[in-house]
Amino acid sequence: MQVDRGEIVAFAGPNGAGKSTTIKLLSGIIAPDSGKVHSLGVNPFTDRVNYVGRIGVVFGQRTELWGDLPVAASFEWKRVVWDIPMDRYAIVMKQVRELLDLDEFFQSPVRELSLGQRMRADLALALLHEPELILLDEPTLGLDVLAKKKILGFIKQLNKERGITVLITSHDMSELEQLAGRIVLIDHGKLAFDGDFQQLRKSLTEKRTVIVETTDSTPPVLVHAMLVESISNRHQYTYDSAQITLPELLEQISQQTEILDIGTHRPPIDDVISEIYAHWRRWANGYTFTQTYFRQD
Amino acid sequence: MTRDLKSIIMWYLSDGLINIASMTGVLLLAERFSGIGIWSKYQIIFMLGYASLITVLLSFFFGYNVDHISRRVGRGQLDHTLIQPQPLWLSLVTEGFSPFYASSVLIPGIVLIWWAGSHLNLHYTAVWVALLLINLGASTVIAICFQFIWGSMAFWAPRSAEEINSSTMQLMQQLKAFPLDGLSPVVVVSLLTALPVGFLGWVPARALLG
Repeated sequence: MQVDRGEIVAFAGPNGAGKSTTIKLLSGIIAPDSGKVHSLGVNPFTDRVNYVGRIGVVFGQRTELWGDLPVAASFEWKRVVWDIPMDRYAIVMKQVRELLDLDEFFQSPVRELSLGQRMRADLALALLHEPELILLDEPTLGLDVLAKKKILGFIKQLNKERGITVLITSHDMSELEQLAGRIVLIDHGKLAFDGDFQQLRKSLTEKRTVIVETTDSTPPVLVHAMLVESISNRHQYTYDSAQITLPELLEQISQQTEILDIGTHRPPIDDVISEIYAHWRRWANGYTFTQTYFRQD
Repeated sequence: MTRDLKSIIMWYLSDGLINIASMTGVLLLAERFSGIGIWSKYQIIFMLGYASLITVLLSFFFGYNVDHISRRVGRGQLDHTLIQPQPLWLSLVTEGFSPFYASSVLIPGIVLIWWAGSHLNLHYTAVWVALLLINLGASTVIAICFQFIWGSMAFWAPRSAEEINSSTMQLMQQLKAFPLDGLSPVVVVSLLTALPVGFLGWVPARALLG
């Protein structure tokens, strides 16, 4: 697996797949049992002390802030430990305080912060030394929609303006899709997919959904399509686009009743991923999932 | 603790009470039986004072859960320490330096040593004070190493071993001020190796009291 400078890469996999372990490997916290890890031109484990000064890490389930102290104290502590020059510190502090709205709770004790506030402060803290690479391990876990939007928007902006490389893990696929062009899936420590979200959808499933509104409340009987639900004169079907095309389906329907309206959609990315994870669980015994499975298209 | 003056006073009062209560058992035994085994009452009090200072030093230099490293490991907090751009030992020593914790035991500890010493006709020469400081330093290093060895269990079982250092600390606190004379050689060897509480009171007190 290789990540280029300035990329945003979504890193996903089921529980226990090795996402957090990979983040720890890339942070220099642990060394690999086999294989090699190279990041920013160095070995993260052996060059840890210098290397970690160039990266930012956020562990979503834990905080780097000092719990008993005001938020401001953690930032001051970071300035000293990371040896950040005062002029740079002042510039970055101004930026993160504005962009992440830290002012409202900057002097409050960390223990009194809400999860969203704490996460924003953690993210700001990780960026204080202007890292070249940020590793985000589930940074939006447990956050409400507004807080998520704010954090994701900020990460995107940071990547665009400063060219920071971002590796982010999350279980929320739609969130990852908003943020990253590329997704890497792992399972049991092995690379299972590396490509864009479009490819991922296409490679696994050709399943589509069509909703038709007809004059008749009886749902038309269709070949190569399955009725999912029928409410009054609205009927929802799923079909495999490799087996039958949409015009062919509509032709079948129009032969049986009059069509008033139609709507189609592709399955949400979360459904696609759930399907992948389900496959992995089914084939866990003896089956080795390979990249070629995903890349058959 | 540092929120306001009231919190500081309450913290010192409660901490002082807990620490005085933990000394009282040994103190009462020594008083009731005029010593324990071959140790006189004042020798026991000296050992108690010495052992109290170990508690002080552990909290002074290894506070903030550095002396309970299993908590840091079990809760994943060590990861945060490892993403700081400095050697791990330096991070632990600087984070652990908390001079206000356990300072409520410092004065009682010194008073106990001074009180016992005045009854034992100790001569507080510069050499003796230097020896006391060296012994205190060595005992503290042994105690923290003991905590680290057991605390490393949390790498293998983060959840179940997260609090193992609370138990090992409690064990040290309970046993460090008891004389080991008269115990079977196997027990004495065990208390100087596997569970080295003998080095936190008994051995140094013997050396310092001659």
